[in-house]
Formats: sequence, structure tokens, C-alpha cells
Amino acid sequence: MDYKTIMCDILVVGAGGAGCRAAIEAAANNLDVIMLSKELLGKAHTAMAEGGLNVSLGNVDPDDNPETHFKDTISGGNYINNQKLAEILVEQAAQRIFDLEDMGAVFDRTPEGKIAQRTFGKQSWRRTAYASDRTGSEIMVTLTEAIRKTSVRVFDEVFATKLLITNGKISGVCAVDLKYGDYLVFRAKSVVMATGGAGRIFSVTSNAQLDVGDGYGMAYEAGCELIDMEMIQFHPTGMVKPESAKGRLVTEAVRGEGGILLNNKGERFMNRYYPEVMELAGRDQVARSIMTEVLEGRGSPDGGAYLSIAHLPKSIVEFRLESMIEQFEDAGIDIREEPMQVSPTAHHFMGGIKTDEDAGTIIPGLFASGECTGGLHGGNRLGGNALADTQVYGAISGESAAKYAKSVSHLGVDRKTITQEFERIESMLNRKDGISPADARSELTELMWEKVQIFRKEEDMQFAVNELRRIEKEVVPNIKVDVPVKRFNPGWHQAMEFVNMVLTARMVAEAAVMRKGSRGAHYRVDADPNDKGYYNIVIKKGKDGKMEMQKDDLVITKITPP
Amino acid sequence: MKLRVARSREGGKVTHYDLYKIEHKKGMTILDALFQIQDKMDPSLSFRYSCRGAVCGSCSILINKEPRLACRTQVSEVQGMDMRLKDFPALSETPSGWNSEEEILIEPLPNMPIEKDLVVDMTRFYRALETMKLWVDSEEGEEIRLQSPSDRKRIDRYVNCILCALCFGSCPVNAEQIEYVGPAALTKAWRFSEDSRVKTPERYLEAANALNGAPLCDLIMNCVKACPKGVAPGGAIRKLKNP
Repeated sequence: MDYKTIMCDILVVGAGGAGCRAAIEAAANNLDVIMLSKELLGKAHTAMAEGGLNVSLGNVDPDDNPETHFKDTISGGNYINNQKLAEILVEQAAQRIFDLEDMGAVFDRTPEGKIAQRTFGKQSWRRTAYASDRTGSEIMVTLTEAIRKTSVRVFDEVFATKLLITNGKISGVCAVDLKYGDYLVFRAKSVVMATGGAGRIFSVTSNAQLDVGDGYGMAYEAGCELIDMEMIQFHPTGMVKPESAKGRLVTEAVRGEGGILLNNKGERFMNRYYPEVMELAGRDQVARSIMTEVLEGRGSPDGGAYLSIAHLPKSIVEFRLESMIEQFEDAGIDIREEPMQVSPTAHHFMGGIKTDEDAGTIIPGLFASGECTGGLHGGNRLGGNALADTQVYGAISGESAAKYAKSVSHLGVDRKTITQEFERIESMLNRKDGISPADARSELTELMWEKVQIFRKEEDMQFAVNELRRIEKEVVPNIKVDVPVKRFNPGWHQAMEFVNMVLTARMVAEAAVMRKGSRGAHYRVDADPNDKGYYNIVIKKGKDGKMEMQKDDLVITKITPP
Repeated sequence: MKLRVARSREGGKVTHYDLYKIEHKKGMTILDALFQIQDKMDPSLSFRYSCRGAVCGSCSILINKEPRLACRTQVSEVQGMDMRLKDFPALSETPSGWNSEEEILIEPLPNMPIEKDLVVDMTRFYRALETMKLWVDSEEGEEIRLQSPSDRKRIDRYVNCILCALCFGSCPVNAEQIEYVGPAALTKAWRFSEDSRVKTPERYLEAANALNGAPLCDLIMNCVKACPKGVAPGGAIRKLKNP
């Protein structure tokens, strides 16, 4: 089995907001940094973030400060966040937005010329910095410009498949060049995982096509701990129609700017559920409220709720929600004239690779940042905290990886492990009979959407777990790519991804079964009232190859759960 | 509805066209149609995509001889569309056998080498961003920058660029002159030179007015018509030519 070996000091896997920020930070240490991107540089899912980035600058509400941002984050997270991680987020967010400004990012401005800040759900003050409703895109474009300025070597359209471990420490990564099908081994002193989330394990999602949980799968196989995997954020407002746009994000900024939710009777139903905060309740709360309206027969004809901005001045809509106008125009709807139909969509993984304050994992030399990590956001992530997370922890992971790389030399890699890995991937091409990746994928995503969704119950989730175990045993080893070519073969790429999707889905479902009470985004209709849920579920691959789960105590620094 | 799709197994040039009959659903985009082909009929068909929502700019292709984002083009609306672009061979030469009444023609974006099927090698497009140094030089010190809303507004249009390269693929000059940096890079240069926070606007103007830049543009304005984000690169280039 032929493969090329490429050496570097630091390897960053993933090129979204966190990966780019990590690579920039690492390269500032005069080290040789390689960044792998599954798609072309700049096309990562971060670009789809719309609403903004939380930072307590106090530019419009001067009383805001990191302390309040911290409180909002913890109470919004239903008190199961890692408070050490949250403290760092709120303290360093300001410096990171100044970095972005320094790199040239264009934010919206207050009349005095400061970075403007808008209202977002569950926040005490106007805190979310933004660039119209295309904040993520602005940040992504800016970061790629900053990457071009550095010595970082970008390998785009390269897909990492396995983390290499030598004597318990990180030593490199196996990867496939999607353009030509070449097998590559990157040997590095330290590795940063910044692989994003896995919304795509659900059939309705706001996520980009490639967000399938590669990082969760790879980290699990390598021996990492994963935390809070049952905590999936269903964003309350995804598009309902047309079918092709189902699940596409309708930014929280619509509600932040004053948009209201109505049922088919024209009632502002949030009044019934969360009268004090109305549409700006937590994302988990708004999602459940909309679904309750739908399930009780008060939904819109296409099974959602109406989101109306008819009462807002046109100037606000046109200037601050310009992408939304365009997005709905494509669906034949003028949102200035008629209400949007919205319903929940799988949006964000609060859970992920367990990291410490230095973005380190339990594997020496392996760091992680961004959505692929867990713990920071607890049971529900505040809108605007994800972009902040990518920048704060992106920078920390880059710095930590650099520090580590400076203190060690390259470790050897095991040729046999590498050969086996590439043989595994090659075998998908050579199989004569089997299941097509497209069919396997749609079975999985429907299963997750139906059985492990917003309102959860034991029998559904147990059914999903059993099915996933079956899929892992019967389908995964029999995935077959129809056309055995290596050059840009999408069927092959999907086959490689599928393994990670199944593993990720199983972690979500198994952890969800283990959590018997309701907490945050994990809402059970059959909740055990005695389980208050003040713990984190940590998953790890056991010595016997079985999935091991345990409940860990919360990490509390300042706020004791009520 | 049928799609006639350009194929190229080994890259380089289109070797043949495959005809696929798709099951049309209401609201279906060309990207959805391509997914249907990939999932149900031919899993080897290659094309780029990521966000499916006109934000990432990955799915730029030629649809009925017009450069468009597949995710923003409705299958049902293709027939009536007309960008009124100025022709060049990649836009005017049609494959034999194409029945334009019944089939939508899908081809790779012109002006860049084909890697496989609808995937093109974008090196030329991206390289200009690097050679022209299209980034902001960092400043010492960490003081908070100010930018008035009106200064911000001056660059508003240009920051909407998603680097989809539709302008590059629509430009007759890019078709002929391999060294031309293209509309997107020039527009980015203009965006930086107009940014009130930038200390050295001249450097971007100089880069843009180099011999492989703005002087090569004939103000044909195909880029303005093809841009899916209203950036209007041609307008910025006109200003670069007459500052």
C-alpha cells in the first residue's frame, strides 16, 4: 500500500473558524504548520453562521461585562457547563474580536464608529457583535485572508481518517487526498482537531453537507474522552419549505431585531410558555414551544410556526437582515410582506471532545477547539457563543499545540497501523456486493431525526441504539462504492464519512438513554423527576473495544446549580 | 426534466455528455438535481458543494451556458433565464445533440482547467489573492479601531463577495488572457483601498493597476451580471481605472 509521508511541527485538522485561528496562532511561533481542509479553503461551515459573536464590549449597553456574560452562559447552559472553560471564553472574547478587526473583518458600527452589538436570546444586554446577518461569512473570509499572510501550508480537499498514536501520545494523522485519491501520512509533533459538528446525522439540519462528525469518530477511536454527546441544539427556526431548503437556518437575529412567532390562529404563543422573555427564551425552550404548537394542531400548513417581521421598519430589515431577504426570495417569499414559516432544525453539538483550559485532551500532544469539543456550552449554547468559542479556543489550541511541539520531537509511526487503515479505505472501492453510502446515510439520518429528537422517550432512544449497533455491525463493514475510481469520487468520500456518522450517532443515542431526567436540550417526555441532571456524561472507548460511559461531577467555579 | 451533464473522468477536457432524467420536485434547485443523480443514478458524478445556501460559493457551474450557483438556481426557472452576457467560445459553443427545449445543460465553470466532471482547478483564481497580497497588514498596538457607519457603508457592497469565481468564469478577458487576475481579486483590492481603517491604501491600488490587473479589463461587465451577491465587480474596476 503506497503512501506519502509529510512532516510538519503542528497539524491542524479542519479549516473553519477554529482551525484557521489555531493555525494562525501556531504559525506565529515560527513553527511549520499544516492545515487540512476537507473542502476548499474558506468554504467551511463557519461561513454559515449568521447572527454574530458574543463579546461583552459594552459598546451599546455600557453595564455589560464578562461577569454577566459568564452568568448568562451558565444559566443558558442549564448549569452543566464546564465553568472553567466558560470563564476563559468570556474573558478572552474581547481580545479575539480585536484580532479579527486587526485582520480586517468588517463589523456593523454604532453611530460613534464602535463595533455594534445586538440582542440575542437569553442575554442580559445587547452583546452580540455582527456583520449584518452574514457574520460567519465575514469572519471566514477574513481568517482565510489572514491565513494567506502566514507560512501555514494549506492542504485543501484532503480528508483525515485516523489519528496515529505512539506510546499513548499523538504522532500523526492518516489522510486521503480527495482530488487524486492519494494516501497521505502527516507526521506532526502536535495535532489540533477543529473538525466541527455533526448536524448531518439528522435528516433536517442547518449544517453544511460535510458536517458529519469526522472528529468525534476519529477522537473516539484514538482513545479520547467525549462529553455531553446527548446535548444537541435544535435551532428553533429552520426553513420549512421548499423541501430542498428544509432545515436551513433562519437566524436568531430575526427575533433579536424584534421578529415575533405566531401560530395559525395569529396568537403570539410564546406568551403561553415564556411570557417574560417571549421569543428570546433559550433556543431549546423556543424549539419545544414551536413543536408543541404544531403537535397540538396550531401550526402552519407546512408544519411550522409563523415568524413575522411585518411590524418592523423596512430600514432595519433591509440593512440588518439582508441575507434573510435573499434566502426567502429564492423560495419565492418576500419576508417584508409575508411571514416566514419556521420549525426546528438540528444545529449545534454542545457535546464533543473533552478538553481542559489549554484545549488539551487526555492524549498528550492532541488538542481540540470549536464545535468538535464539548463542555463549554453545557446543555444549551447561547446564540453568538459559538463564533466566540471558535476564536477564543482556536487561539488557545494553536498556542498550546505550539508550546507542546517546541518541547518534543517527532515520534515514530507504526507502519502496520497505517497500512491497515489505508487497506480499510481501499476495500470500500473493491467490494463486489454491499450497501450504497447514499442509502446507508438516509437510513441513519431518518432514524436519528425520528427517534432521538427534541421530545425524547426511552423506547424511541433504545430503539435507535439497537438499530445503530446493528448498522455498525452489518452495514459499516459492507459499505460499497459503486464506481471504483479514486479521483474525486463522491461515493467514496461518503463511504469514508459514514463510519464516523454511525459512531457519532451512537454516542448521541447511548448518552441520551443514560440521562434519565430532562436537562437543557435533552428533554424527555418520560423524564425521571428525581434525576436533576447535574452531571456530565463522559464516553470513552474501553480496553475491550466497547463503548464505556460514566457520569462525572460538574466543574463549578462560581455558580452553584439551583 | 432532463439534465445533460458534461463529464471528464481524467480532467483536462469534457470527453462526453451524459443525459439524466430527474424526478422534478417543487422548489428543486440544480444542486438538488445533481444530488439526485449522484444518490440514485451515478455516484461517480463529481461536483463541489458545501452550504447549499449561497454562502460558501462552492457550487459554481455553467447552467445552460450561464455561470450560476447550482444551489441558487431553480430547476423550474432555468428555461426563462437570460443574463445577456457577452459571448465567448465557452458560452457560445454548444454540444451536438443538446435539445435546449427539453434539457438543461450542465457544464464546468469556464476559464479554469477541469479536474473531473464539474470540478475545476481554482488555483489561478486563488493565486491572485496571494500574489496581490489581498489582506490587511497588522498594526502594532491593540487600540480599538473606529469606523463610522458611513465609512463602513462605502465597502458594504464589496464585502459580500463569497469568492465563488462566477465572475472569473464569466469574463471574456479571463478566457483569453491567462495572466489576468480577474474581477474578484480586483474588487477585493478596491475594497481594501476604500477601507477607512487601512493605513496603506496605495499598495492595493498599485497591485490592482499592475499590467495583469485592471488595465486588462475591457469593462464588458459580464461579472456584474453573473455575480450572485450583488457585488458588481465591474463597478469597482471602473473606479480602479479612474480613481
